[in-house]
Amino acid sequence: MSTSSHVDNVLLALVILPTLAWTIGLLVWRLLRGSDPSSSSTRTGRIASHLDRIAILRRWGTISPLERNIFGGISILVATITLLSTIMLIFRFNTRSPAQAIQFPLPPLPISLYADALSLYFLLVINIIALGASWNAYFYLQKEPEAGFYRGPSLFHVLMNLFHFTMLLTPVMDNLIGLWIAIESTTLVSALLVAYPNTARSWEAAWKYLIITSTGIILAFMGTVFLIHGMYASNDPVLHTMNWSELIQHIHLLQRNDSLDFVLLAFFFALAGYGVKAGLAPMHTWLPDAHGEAAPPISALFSGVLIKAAFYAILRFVMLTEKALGNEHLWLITYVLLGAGLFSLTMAVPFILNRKNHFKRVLAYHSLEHMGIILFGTGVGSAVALFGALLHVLNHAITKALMFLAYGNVLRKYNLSEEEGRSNILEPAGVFYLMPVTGLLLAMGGLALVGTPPFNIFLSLWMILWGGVQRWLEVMHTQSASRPLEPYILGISILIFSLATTLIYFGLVQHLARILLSHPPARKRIQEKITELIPLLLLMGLTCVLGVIVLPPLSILIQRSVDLLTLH
Amino acid sequence: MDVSWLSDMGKWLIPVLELAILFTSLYIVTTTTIGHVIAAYRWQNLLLLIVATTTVAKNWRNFPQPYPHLLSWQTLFLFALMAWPVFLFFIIGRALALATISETRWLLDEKDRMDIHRTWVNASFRQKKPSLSRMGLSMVIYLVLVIFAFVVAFRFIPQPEEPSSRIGLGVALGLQFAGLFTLMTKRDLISQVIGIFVMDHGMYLSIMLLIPMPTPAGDFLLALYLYTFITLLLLFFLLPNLRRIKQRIDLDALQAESPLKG
Repeated sequence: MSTSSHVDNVLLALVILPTLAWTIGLLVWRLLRGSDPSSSSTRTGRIASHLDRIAILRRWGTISPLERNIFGGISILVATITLLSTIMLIFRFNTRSPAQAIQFPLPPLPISLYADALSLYFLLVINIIALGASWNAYFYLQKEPEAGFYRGPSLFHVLMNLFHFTMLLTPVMDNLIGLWIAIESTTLVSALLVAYPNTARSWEAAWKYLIITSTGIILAFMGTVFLIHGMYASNDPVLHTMNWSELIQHIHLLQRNDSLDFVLLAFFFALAGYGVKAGLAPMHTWLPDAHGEAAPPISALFSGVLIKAAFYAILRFVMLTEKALGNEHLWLITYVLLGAGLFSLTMAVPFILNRKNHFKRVLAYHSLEHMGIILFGTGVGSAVALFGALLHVLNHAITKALMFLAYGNVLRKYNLSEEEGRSNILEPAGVFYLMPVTGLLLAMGGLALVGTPPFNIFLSLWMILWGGVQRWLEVMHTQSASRPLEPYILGISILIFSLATTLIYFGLVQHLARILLSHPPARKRIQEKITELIPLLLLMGLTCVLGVIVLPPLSILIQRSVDLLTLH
Repeated sequence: MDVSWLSDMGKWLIPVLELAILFTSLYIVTTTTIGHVIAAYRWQNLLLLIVATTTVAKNWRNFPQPYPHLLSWQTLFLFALMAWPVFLFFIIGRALALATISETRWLLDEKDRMDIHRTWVNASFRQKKPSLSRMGLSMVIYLVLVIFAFVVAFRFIPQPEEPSSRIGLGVALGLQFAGLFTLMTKRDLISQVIGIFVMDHGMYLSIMLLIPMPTPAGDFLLALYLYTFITLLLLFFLLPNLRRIKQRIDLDALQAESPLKG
């Protein structure tokens, strides 16, 4: 059932539109300011020189310190507005009947925005991380020169806000091809953001990222085509739609005819396709390159929310497939998700244990691990495991953003030390001695990331494991004659899960020890500004609080999302 | 308009053309010369255009008749459907040429052309020699992939439907696998791009399955356009910069000196 008041619509607009408005505003400013006319010999330079005819500000590719700070400030403000609007929307949503969702038609377009508990939860995750990333970007761009039309802080803000906007579109797309377009749009903007540092490494990483994720997105497109073909091929006119909210209500009718096979085919393609974007093995190879080479706020967004947005798309397909297949065939989805999750989890182990890997790449491999954990929880499918998996989405996003932002601060400070000028240190040493607060945050964040109590990931990890064991015991007691191997498969899966997470624990601890406690380079202690630490402290605060208690509004929202996922 | 003769012809012509498309992708998979890869890809575009035209004619009765206005959305849809392969046929060679030189220009001079030619020939030479055993192995793997695609298609498309739908789905899936195979085995960036575009052809053919249902087919076509433009745009932006910095497009050399390891 979909109902929404004007207040809901306004709040949803406040969640989605500020980022777009700010992006357009910045683009207009860049056009009015003008670019660098001296580079007109190149193609890009010639385009820029044509655009310069409308540049009435005639600032020619420069940015003043005041403008730089204003732009950074507005980006933080925009991220704050979207986060607060999301929180208000969640509070309003939690007071209603669980079955209600927000529907926001977009006339004259044939699509509408749709937000149920799951959409709102993912919006919350995106906006929390986007606020942290925007805050960090303010400082990251302080020393960044505005180099012509195609580089500089203003372009970074344009791309970052556009990236934020495209990610916000993903959870509110009702139309399945709209969902695909939203995910594809994130690829476009994020590829440019990976290339932004303009180094050989970043261009190569952007190329790999584009090629691999394009492959995935094509498979997801095929999955969507198959699903819709199955719907339209059925004789039931209620299924002749591309809107998820309508399909989920009627898809069980498919059990009567052959189109069911198409839903299954669609699921496999969607899992493989969106799985590439979610960084699942074996198509995870873009993860360490893109995460490792992008600017720290972008790495935080990548690891924290981009891969989760793709996971959201997978979840929508899982829900449709489970409902179409009915309870009798659920084991198939369970095995596929468990297998995919475990494969990603175990693939991450050797890379995290390898001492030679750069820390940022190790963090990227942790994304592979955690996506594996989340998929494992989804595959287990019990209410506890699903609650744990969804909570893990938020917990991993917060902790990983904390790690990327803190480590980004360390790299930036080490590479811009007053005594040595600009350098290119890739692996800092002795962070505890030179930047003790950031070092402590890195240590706590690292320990949280591998599931140490009393931090947040410990809680969600245990929920998933507990859910898995519960399911295993359940299967042991009600052993099905048609699937005699099920208890063994589940038991072995839980064993592999525990072993892999334990190995990864030791792997990360050795990396942390190397960075934090090894002998520091000979230099003075580096000054850490409180304004730079605020987003890190806030994320650390959330990491600690969510390790002890799942806040009631959040708990209600996740529970409602779990109810949606188990309605079959 | 009586297009029943086209409809009848489509029943046998479409599967034949679709199988011809698979042969062009077999050529893309086995050849190591960049120029030949691009030429085979352009042939695929022409074949797709004929497939699209015939499929539309075959399903003419499913479209609301008669069209009330010249600019009705159905007309736009048909135009867009036909324009896509034509557009790619004309643009792909030039796009890849422009993307090959480090500072791209809209108009290529003689020096640019020489530069592109040298880069492509060098990249082709750096790939392993096209020995018979290597070509045979590629062929065998490709055939296995195509057979798998057809098994899936015949398993999933229900029996009462026309065999041409099954062949269409089989070829669409076969093109996906061919594109993936090209991406994994070719050792230069240009052929990799072609691999992606071959997969795009699979997307396009899968839209053909939806032609009898014009509403979703239009939406999917719109998405395909968006995807193609984005890919081309990024191609223009990323490849020249990569070439500017790395001075090469052959993957083995790029990987050998790549700092992105581990």
